[in-house]
Amino acid sequence: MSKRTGQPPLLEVEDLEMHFEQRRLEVTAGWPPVRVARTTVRAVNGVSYTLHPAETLGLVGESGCGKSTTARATLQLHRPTGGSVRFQGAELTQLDGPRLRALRRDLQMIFQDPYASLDPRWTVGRIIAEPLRNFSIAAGGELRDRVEELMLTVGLDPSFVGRYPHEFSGGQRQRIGIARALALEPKVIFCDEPVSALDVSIQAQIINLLQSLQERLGIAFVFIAHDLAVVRHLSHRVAIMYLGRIVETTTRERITHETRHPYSRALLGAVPIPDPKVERSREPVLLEGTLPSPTEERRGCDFVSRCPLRPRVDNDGRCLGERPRLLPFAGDSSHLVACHYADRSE
Amino acid sequence: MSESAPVLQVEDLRVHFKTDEGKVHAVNGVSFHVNEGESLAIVGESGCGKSVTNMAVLRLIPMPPGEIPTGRILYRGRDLLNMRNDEIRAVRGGRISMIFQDPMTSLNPFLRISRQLTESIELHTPLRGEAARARAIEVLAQVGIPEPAARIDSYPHEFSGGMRQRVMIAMALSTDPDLLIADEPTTALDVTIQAQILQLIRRLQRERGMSLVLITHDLAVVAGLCTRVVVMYGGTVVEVAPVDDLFADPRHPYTLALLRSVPRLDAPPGRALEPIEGLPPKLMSEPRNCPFAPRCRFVRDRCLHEAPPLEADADGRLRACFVPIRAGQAVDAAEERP
Repeated sequence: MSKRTGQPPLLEVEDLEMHFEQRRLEVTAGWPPVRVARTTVRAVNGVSYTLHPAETLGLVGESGCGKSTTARATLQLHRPTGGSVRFQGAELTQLDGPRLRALRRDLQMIFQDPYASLDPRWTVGRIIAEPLRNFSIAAGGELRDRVEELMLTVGLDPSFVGRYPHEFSGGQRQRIGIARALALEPKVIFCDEPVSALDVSIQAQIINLLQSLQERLGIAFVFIAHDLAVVRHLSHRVAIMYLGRIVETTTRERITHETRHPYSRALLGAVPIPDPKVERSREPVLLEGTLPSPTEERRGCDFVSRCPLRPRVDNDGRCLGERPRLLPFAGDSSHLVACHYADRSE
Repeated sequence: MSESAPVLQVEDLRVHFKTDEGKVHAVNGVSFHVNEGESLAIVGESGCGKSVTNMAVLRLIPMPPGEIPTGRILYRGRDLLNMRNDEIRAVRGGRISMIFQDPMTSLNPFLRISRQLTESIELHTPLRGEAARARAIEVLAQVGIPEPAARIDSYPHEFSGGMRQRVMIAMALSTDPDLLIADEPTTALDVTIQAQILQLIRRLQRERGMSLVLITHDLAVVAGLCTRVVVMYGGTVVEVAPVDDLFADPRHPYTLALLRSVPRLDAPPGRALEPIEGLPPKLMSEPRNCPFAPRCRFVRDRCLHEAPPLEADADGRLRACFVPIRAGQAVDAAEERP
């Protein structure tokens, strides 16, 4: 692995907040018979993280925890309702269209469904060339050479340049998406569930491709996925999200056995291990209930309603009354936990 | 393995589909059985024929474009493929139940849960009216739906994904089946919900002594739930083994490759994954060779000209391979044959 932490971070996100206003008609008892009810969905509610060059940060959590929205708000695809995003010193939230567009070259994204994110009427060559054309980087023969080079980089046969997305398998389509993201030689690529739709044998091909691209080109990844084994495999650090907030950030080495937040423990404990002997010997911590609504505002910890630790430790109502901050655990700045009783979890 | 007759026995099943591009040979001579009370996994990737095989068991293959040129599917000795439509309807959803991957598309969004549950209870059991409703509430309680008497009149969209899958399981269990076929039952769910649903299936199976066929691509789910595994590739069965043996000592190169291509949460970090290069076969013709041969690290000339039959090793383990991996054989790059 390359040396990553000595350098200043590429990306610094602080207290990122992405609230959406939801409007719906509500029937009333009086007059007028209906009124517009407004609720706020707090999809991302104060997320802070950093990303270093050539580093992979994994972002995990269950459906609706805000991991995809965090990526989109960081990239300014949604304009965040609060917080700051600094990329190489520039405050992205303050930038207007043209200046933001210039920085977009360095910040790319690949998506879960390579079919839905590729125009079915465009040839592969045109899809991969589009960003190069948009930024007037190459034209004519030079453009063709660059497209061919990109196809080789991601393991596609350049003779397929005139084919359409439907002529490719799922794994190959994901390679097309990766080639397009690489076209502008970005510094950061956000990968949103890039292998979830692929079969396991193909998934491994794409995972290995992403790793080799990082080694060769020094790209930093924010890797979002619900499959914790895949995330741990690819990431140097992992951030675990719950209900719009990061509850724990730790290193790849510690993620399996040394997490301290009770939600992290439940989440990791629920991941089945492909080994029948291991599976028989362990008792998963089953979480009761489901995610609370992201429209409610809470003063305390978001996890109280499902926390298996709280009944044992919270004698003075601190969990309900005071929101735990994401703080270094045992003075270690590479391991951050947002739990008042992180030292009591076992 | 149990001494009694198997609940389900599939013999030399073939399923073809006519398409504009030609005939797709989706299932090519598949045989396996399910013992009384056991949980059998059928593992494989997209297009390996695992779902089509089980659609055939339930007689859910649309014909045309589908056809079943050969095969027998014996449920307690009776061939499901020869049953009249009214006979199969009495079995399907009654004695044999199923759960699918996506509970939202398997439940009717326009009907209350109560209506959908009582419909199958009234069709397959003597219970009617209030008695059927009482039974429905009872199974909802068994699958862990809180306040079942109140929730039974909800619509599917009023439940979360995990709760909807519980409703599907309740529906499958309401007729007290002796065989449950679950096709990727937890694939669409978050891991914490998946753990709840797997625990539920495990408990219900233990309590009822029901047989289970779990169709999945996820080896980790198999490891925690099943006792015996059928591995499929390219429309054929390539290996059958008790779960511990399969993970500890895979005999077919595809099984080995599959085990090595998935990242494990408990493996030392930094271990490289071994992808299976290439793509699965298109199955546009009757396979005359080993379907895995083009991607196999151990391929020999014979594999390209002849389809290996599913045969027993000396210890009774079944595999369809001319060059099976031997126990303890060092399978690293140096061992690869040209």
